[in-house]
Amino acid sequence: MDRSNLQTTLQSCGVNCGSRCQLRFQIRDDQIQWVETDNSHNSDELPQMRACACGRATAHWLSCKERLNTPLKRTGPRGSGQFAPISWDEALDEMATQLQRIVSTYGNEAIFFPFGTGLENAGKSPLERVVNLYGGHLDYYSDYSSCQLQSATMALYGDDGYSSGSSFDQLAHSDLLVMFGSTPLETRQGGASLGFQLTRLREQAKREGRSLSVISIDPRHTDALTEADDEWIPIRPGTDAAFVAGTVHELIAAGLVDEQFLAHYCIGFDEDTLPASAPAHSSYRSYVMGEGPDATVKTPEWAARITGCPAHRIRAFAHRLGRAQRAFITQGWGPQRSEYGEQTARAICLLALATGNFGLPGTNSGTREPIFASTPALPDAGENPVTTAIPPFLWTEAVARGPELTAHSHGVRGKERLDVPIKMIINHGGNCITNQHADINAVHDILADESLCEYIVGCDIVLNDSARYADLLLPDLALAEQENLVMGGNIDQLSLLRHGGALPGDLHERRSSWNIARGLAERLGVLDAFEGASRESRERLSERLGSAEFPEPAPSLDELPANHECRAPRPTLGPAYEAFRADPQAHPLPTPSGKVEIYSEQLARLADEAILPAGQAISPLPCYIPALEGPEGPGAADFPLQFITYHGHQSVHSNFAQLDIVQSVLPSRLLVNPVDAARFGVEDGQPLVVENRRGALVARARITPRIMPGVVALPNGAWHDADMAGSRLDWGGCANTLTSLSPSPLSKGNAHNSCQVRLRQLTDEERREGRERGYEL
Amino acid sequence: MTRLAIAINLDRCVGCHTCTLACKMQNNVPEGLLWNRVLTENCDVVDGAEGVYPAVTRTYLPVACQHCQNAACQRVCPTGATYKDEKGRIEIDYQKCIGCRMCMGACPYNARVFNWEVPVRSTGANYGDARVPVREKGMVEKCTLCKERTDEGEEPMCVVCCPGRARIFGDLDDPESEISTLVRDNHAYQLLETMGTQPSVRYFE
Repeated sequence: MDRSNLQTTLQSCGVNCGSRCQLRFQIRDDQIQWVETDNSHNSDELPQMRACACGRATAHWLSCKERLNTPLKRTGPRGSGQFAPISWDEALDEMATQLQRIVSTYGNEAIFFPFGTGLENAGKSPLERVVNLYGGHLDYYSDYSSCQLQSATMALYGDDGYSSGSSFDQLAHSDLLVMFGSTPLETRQGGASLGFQLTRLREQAKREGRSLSVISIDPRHTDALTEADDEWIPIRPGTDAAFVAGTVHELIAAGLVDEQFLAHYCIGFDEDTLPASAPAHSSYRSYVMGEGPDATVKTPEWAARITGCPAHRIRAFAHRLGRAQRAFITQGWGPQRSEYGEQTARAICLLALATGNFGLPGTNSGTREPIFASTPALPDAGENPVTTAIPPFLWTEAVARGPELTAHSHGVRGKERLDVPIKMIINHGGNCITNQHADINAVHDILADESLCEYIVGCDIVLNDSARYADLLLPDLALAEQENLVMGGNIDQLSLLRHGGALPGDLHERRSSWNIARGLAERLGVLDAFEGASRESRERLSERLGSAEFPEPAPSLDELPANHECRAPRPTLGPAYEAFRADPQAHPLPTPSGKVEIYSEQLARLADEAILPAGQAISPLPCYIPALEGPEGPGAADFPLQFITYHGHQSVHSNFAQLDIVQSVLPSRLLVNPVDAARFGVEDGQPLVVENRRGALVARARITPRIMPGVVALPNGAWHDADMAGSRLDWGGCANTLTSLSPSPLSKGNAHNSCQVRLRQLTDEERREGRERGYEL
Repeated sequence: MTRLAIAINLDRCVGCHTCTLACKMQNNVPEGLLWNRVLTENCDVVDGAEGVYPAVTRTYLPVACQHCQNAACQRVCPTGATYKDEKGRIEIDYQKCIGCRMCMGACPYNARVFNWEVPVRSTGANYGDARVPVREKGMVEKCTLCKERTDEGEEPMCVVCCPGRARIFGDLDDPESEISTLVRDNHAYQLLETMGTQPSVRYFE
């Protein structure tokens, strides 16, 4: 066996799933021979960071046919994907000239960096650093991941929920795990991540002879349901708050509500804990018991009609939850990514509160598991002199109608009203222009009008659908191609610092984003200030390595050569809000009242002040508000199916989704229940058109009882592929061809996890078009 | 004697297909072919389930060559290309394979695949482990239990890559080995036991 001259290059999978799994590239003669993953000692404290199917495809990704190899300048209409190669000097000169022109014509607030996480492993974009040194840019706050959950927990608990939840460690003290739209075995599938941790904790319970029941409340039967007695309660998308109200009604009826906890720690569950400003009958109990303004009793039968879950199952669930010793209630980020995601997220948390499963060992606050801080290796973007910021999802609005965006109508911060629309976009390592944004056809029309956004720069490693809209396209180096320092992912269950070695191979004309930014800084006359910061990050990493997180004998940064890493166990965390539960006077929550605000005065005020589109509402209570495009929505007669997306095993967002090798084992399929298959004449494996008023996509059906009737599901991330000058039929099956740009009422967040659709067969003409585009039909 | 084998903990398998892909890449398996597949018990598709909605259950079932001790494929091979080696693995001598596909018909696990055409690989290059022989058009192939790795004391790629740690590799003839202990303690079973093929791959829950 020829293993001579074989060298191992240690690298990281650096996409934004929350993990930084280890990749060991086997190199000979400057060629990648094959790829292995973590083979270090495996223990409960230091789990191996084994890469998933996606991470294992990294070598294929680096050499994929969509890879960008040289700077490109647009030659056809915007979005056509027609480009011509240009030199780096031409590219950087052009970018500098355009930046100067935009700043002098419109000011710095006309420049925007859309949300994207391709650089997540490294830090903020060095291009952003240059622009910040050149006067700054319109900023965004929050993200596409969980902005509605953030607003929800801010109202309830006074924090953004990212780090306040209980870690799964607490399951060692629980007898019931309730998951709303959460499937860590799919979303957190890295080897040292939460999926495997959950498996391990369930095995531990079994070994100890302790019962740990698992209930998943989700329209889809997820991979988190691993054992025969795990319970699946399917409910219609966006109806979680109705499910919770029906459950609470039963908890009240059965005397299973933790009255003492609600009275001491919360405001607004009962009339006598409402703030003085609240009108009578505005407590949650009044809402549930039909004493509120809607005069509707929220019985399980009422909830059954809305959720599609039979009343007896809601009752059984309430009793199981009410009688659990310690229930751990958690939610994924799918449920909150909907029209009334803030209501959904708060309602799920309410179950933990109503049953007193809060602040005690084995419990959670109802939010998702906490993420850990991850120190990026690049210097940060520096201070942005512009303090105006918008919710990240509203950038298309800011392009189309800039000065119409105000604080009260669109959540603009730092200013009452935007002065200028977005005139220049710099999209670095993100696919949120089209593919991962929403309503791709509408976005195309906004961007095709070059009088609106005048200049778009893309910087990426692949020509994804967002990159097609760039006027200037800069080829970045991938993480694995560069020597790098990488900290453990924000949900890896260990601390890590890895010094990755550069991979060999032809880099063509690609440049690291630091070098690209350096060239731009030089042209804008800010090079000294730009480079002044390059020591910052090293100092930050050194500090972290020397902290208590990495106990002795951790090496110093200088002692950690390339292809080496340093690991340490994560500390075990206590249950969420433990201190508050133990002593609410000494440790009040950072809410206005210091308590959990089931009724939120802040939201009551916003409900009056906010300028919302017709039909949209904000409520001080976590009550159920029917979504316009929900199962009860007015369009349901024409578009009878609820369409949801999920994070499948086959991609991390849009990363890896285009690779043949991944699709060959994990093809993206539209999940259709047998009932709907019969109703709409769908056969297994058949290509179908999924459509609504915004657009149409093609997906192959998979008929399965793992999705509830009335709902179809598609894994997110597929690459949009349509003739935008012609039919606009999306042959790539990108979910966001169908989703809506309408933001949620409170956080103005992306509500694009669900919408209404219908199914139909392909027409002959469409089949012809598909064949011409190379699809087998 | 040595009898190398894999035991699979089905409770730990979440259908992520990392084993499938890891195997494909390690062993340079061409487009359209797989040595290892993750099936769903009693279904013909991955996203399937057993039972009637909403009372459904689902068990993923990774299947590759079962490395049978009484291998049907070996019995029918007219050239001796398929053989059992000294470590209990069923292997193929590609030079002796005449592409008659008798073995494929005999295997009750559908574990073997055939190069009907000149093999195509999506990157245009041999992406597998350099030690793995390249197969040509007209040859049958299947899981070798990562012969090239296990010969050198390494574990098979599917075992070391499984993010859920569902796979355990070892010697079934060593009663003290981890795999033997797990097989005993968990009453592990074989696929299609009644066929009499005596597979070395074991499953437990």
